[in-house]
Amino acid sequence: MTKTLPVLVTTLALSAAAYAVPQPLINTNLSTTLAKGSYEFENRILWSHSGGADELSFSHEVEFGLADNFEVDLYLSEWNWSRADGEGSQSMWESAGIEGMYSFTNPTSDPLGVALAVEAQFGNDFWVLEPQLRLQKNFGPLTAVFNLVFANEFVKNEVDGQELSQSFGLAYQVNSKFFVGAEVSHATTFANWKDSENEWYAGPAVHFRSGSLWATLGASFKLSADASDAADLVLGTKFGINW
Amino acid sequence: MKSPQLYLLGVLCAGSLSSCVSLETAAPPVATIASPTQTSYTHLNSGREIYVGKCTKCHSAEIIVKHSLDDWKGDIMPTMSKKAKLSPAEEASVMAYVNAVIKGSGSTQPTKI
Repeated sequence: MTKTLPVLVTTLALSAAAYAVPQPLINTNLSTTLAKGSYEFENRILWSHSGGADELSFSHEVEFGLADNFEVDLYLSEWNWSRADGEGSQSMWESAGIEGMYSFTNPTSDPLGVALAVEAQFGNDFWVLEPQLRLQKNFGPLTAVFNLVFANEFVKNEVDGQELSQSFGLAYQVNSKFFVGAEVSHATTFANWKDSENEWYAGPAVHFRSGSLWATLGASFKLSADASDAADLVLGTKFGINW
Repeated sequence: MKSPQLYLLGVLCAGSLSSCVSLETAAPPVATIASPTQTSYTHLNSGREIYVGKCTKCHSAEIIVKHSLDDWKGDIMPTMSKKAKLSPAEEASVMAYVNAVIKGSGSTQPTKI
């Protein structure tokens, strides 16, 4: 039974008739929603190293295509594990949340694909409200996409900090199973609109899918950062299964 | 273009733009393959809208005439309509459009583009 179950799950996953909306980049999301009636289980892991400390952050979510242009994502859990020289390691649960995304136009047939998403995350003593604008244009196998995200963190219902981030990515569909891409991201964090800090990262990504399984790998190299403890390199992976 | 990451981005952009096929080539507008007075015009238009709207959520628009009518009927449509969760009516519309495009091209065999 211990051997049969993984084989059965893998066989079912590979034979399931589903194609996911591809997620060819790590930091930049496409503007297209899942097909109505589809759902997907997605995981994301990011690793960063900075000043003698390692951090792994994990995210697990379930996405539902509720209508042709509307998708709801449930963030089941976001948590991290960290280790610092001389301090040992610890893991900490961060938050759970929900996101709704509506896709207004089609990036292939319309001049520009436009989608709006709103995400809310809830932690032990804080919550975050995050409106997002996603713009996308498909040029045959090439996809160009831009994200603008404005995150507001609240503690006891008072704004505790904001982050304005933007990312731009290009992904090229090499064949039906394989994409290559690259992305640039910039984030500005504020403490009540004062003392802003900027970070720029850029790097490549590859995406592979087969049947209903898919995985994306990416690396982000620091181009510049105001904060001295910003990681020089962030490695990320996303992987999932869809039905 | 000083950083290798931005250079990579530039190369990727230039290289991939040069290999693009227009949407009109991949999925010709209905007006180019049927007369607006034909009773099937609306049905064909609906099929094209589904083709460029739903199918391209997951992959780039496939050049229709690259595949034979037999391939579309026997393999591609049955598989893809399940993947895109098309209703039987939507599948019929797309198949009617694909049929019209291939017959309009004058060949039921794959055409190299």
